[in-house]
Amino acid sequence: MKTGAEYRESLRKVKPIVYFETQLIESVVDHPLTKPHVNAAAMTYDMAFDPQFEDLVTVTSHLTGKKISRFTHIHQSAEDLVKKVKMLRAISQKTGSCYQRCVGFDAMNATYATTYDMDQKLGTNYHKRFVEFLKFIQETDFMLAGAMTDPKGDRGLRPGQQADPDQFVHIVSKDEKGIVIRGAKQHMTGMVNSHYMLIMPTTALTEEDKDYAVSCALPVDAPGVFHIFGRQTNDKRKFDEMDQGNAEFGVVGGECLTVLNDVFVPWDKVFMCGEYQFAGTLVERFASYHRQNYGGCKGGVSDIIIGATAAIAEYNGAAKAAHVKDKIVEMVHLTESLYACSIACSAEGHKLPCGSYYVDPLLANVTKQNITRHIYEICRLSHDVAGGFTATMPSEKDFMDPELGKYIEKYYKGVASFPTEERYRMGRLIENMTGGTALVESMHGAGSPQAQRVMLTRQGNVEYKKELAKRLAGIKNEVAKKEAAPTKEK
Amino acid sequence: MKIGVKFCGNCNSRFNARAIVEEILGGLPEAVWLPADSPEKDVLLVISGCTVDCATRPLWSGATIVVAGETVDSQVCSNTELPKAVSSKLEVIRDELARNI
Repeated sequence: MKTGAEYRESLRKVKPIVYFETQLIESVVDHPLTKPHVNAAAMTYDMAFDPQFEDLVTVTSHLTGKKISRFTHIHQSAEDLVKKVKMLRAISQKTGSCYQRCVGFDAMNATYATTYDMDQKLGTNYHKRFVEFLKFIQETDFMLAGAMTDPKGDRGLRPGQQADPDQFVHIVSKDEKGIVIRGAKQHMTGMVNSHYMLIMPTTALTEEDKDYAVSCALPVDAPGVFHIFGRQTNDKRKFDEMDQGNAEFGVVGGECLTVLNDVFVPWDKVFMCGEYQFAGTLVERFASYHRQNYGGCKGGVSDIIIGATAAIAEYNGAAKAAHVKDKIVEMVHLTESLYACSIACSAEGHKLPCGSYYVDPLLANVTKQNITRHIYEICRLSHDVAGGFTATMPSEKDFMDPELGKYIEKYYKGVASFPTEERYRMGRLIENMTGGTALVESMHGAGSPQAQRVMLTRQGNVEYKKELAKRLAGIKNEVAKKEAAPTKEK
Repeated sequence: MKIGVKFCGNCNSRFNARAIVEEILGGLPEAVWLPADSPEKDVLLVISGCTVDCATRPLWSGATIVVAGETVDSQVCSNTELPKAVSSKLEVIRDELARNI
């Protein structure tokens, strides 16, 4: 396993092409825009060596018997699934922001299981290849970016129907050495500070889309790959300190657009090549694993928001007000509700044919659906308690100015016993964690709300629930008819 | 006395686990904190942040004290009383070890 320092050093050897505002970022480890995200990912490495957290962050590899980072592990039990959620909460409590490694973690688990199923049905040898790649990742402790989301172009058309075929990553050519792919992946969390990426299709596919059925692994600095780093709310504050709110770890995961311009991938790193029948399974598994996470990671982030809100209430002199106490209790209730969903979908996990464990997909989707609501409510309550100053404070430069600073010190004072700077810093932390990019990530990360509702529709078994209701309502003929002749839905 | 300390990971802890251990060890000047899997330990101290007590245990058949949420060896114990309750148990084990030697 790597320490955080070793992770940073290993990143210096990777040379991805990363642009921001047309300029190349020479070193993602050192550049102010990317450094906080590197720091957050480094925390996942350092915590593996901390006795307080190693029980969650490390595990024994089922492939080699060696101690490895849980982020490179294939779940071997429901307990593993539960510990994943607990690990995410523990790390979020340290960073207050996204540490990005769960995406590759989930991509590996989804690909591991799906390649096994493909081989069983189609006689391919993808699983063996993938296991070799997995051993390589476990041994090197490299960070892997999960790369699923395609740009998608016209959302009303299938990949093969797009006016521009590159709106979905697709196979351009193949020969005895490997394949060439083209397209792009959007919202790529942690991509610029990863070592490898794992490409997956973004949607279920039909035979006419078979060139889009591609899964493969490649270095983030492979020839033909470049990245355009995404803007975040207030990102120019990364050149300041106090005004960032969370200067060490930033906000969300440092997302980017990753362009794949005719990128060659050798066969030993190809895990799906035209098997369109399994694209839907791979997507659904990845999505469910990823939606499982959110009560863990956002639970930990919400722990910090709760703490910040309680602290700001003290600075404001409002901590003893009954309505403030009640709002903080409500934030705790919402946070633990999110966590409970993640724990539940994990505890209800089951074994797949390959031997790994998979979450209950219905409950995993409920988890993420709740995130799209409860995080907004948690943040709303934080804004309510903290007050409007979190959105209107003067700049750090003015605070530090010998003349202007005196007035900010005087007029942003709360309770006399607390320094104004504490109130200022806490206000900035709340601003950072409860608005803009952080909120949108809660809505759309791991899939938009409608994507979860599609899964709930599929798995909610409303027909069965109708039968339950009819039975109680005394509609005996209907029940008898259904029992005698199963419907199509059955 | 050599104490092997095993933490659960403290994802949703009801107390500050590290602070509790430091307070316990602070009250026992002769105590040494070792990794839980150290073969040199005299006693295993498990610190689980809540009553789920999900900390994995190393193979060990010797003396063990389990803190799980606001309990010590399944007996309810408030946060403020926790360090003292654990220290008392450690002192008993220490004395037994001394007698056996």
